[in-house]
Amino acid sequence: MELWEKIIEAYPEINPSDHFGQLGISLRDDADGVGAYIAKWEYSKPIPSGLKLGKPKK
Amino acid sequence: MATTTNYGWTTPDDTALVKDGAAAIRTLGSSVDTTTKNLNPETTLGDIAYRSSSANVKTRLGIGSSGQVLTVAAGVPSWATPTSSPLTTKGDIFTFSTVGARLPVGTNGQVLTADSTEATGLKFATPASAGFVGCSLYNTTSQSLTNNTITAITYNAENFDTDTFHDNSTNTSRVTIPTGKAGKYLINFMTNCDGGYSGIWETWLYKNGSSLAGVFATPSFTSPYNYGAFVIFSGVFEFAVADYFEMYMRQTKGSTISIYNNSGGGFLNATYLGA
Repeated sequence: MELWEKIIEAYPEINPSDHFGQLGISLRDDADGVGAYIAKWEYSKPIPSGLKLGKPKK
Repeated sequence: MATTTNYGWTTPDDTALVKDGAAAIRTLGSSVDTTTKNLNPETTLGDIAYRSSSANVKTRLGIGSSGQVLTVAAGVPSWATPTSSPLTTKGDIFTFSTVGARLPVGTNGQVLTADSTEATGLKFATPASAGFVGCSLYNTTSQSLTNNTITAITYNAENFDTDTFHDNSTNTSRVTIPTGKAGKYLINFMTNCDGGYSGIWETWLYKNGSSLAGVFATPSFTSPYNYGAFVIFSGVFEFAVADYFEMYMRQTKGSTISIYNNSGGGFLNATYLGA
């Protein structure tokens, strides 16, 4: 499951084609093998459990 | 004894006896001879004389050789060979080190350059190449862009790369500024995206991992024919040595979508414009 799908699973009010940036959510993938991570979280609700802010170690 | 006014030659006194006349004349004649010789030291054709440091004594200056000119050295006249032009060849330049010196003409295309390590401070040198500097990157395969994820665009092939700006296997999204190439760059980016949806394409130029150029969003795109959308980004930006830049994109289709940066479909070009 992709990161964006986990977020939608936690918050069903978010639609897949919503602009996450306008919701205060920025997901980023530096194409360096680490994968997608939450670069910014300013959504009205907390980061879903199991997910973290910031780029994880490779 | 009386003496003459100018040279101090000894002459008989008015009261001297006649018997002393012969000796007096010899003394006077000897003095005149000595003085005359001192005033005329020349011995050879062309000799000249000049005043010495002693009164009533001149110094002989022997004639110089052909072509020499009369000059002054150490406060006295002397003969010297004049400095002649050292130039021998078409295009030679008359320069100076500690004396006049010849700088041979350079080869075609060379330019005159100041160089303090040269004896004359000048040299002819070939100017630095004004050839193209930059890179053009593409990707032999498509790249998947995950929904709503700002993703670095990668390139695994190069049309050209003059100064190792890019590596096809490591950090393939990066273009890194090499030593000696800090300055302004024209960046052209184009990618061909899957079409057939209504959404937003956003494109960023990142410098050293952070957004530099802000967001460039294309209008929502819906293709009735399911054709792809071309996203184009262009601008002039300044970088320092070891800076790296990348292109990032985000799409909001609601699912993963592909972009194509293969031959003809897309590219990332960087052209060095100068410092």
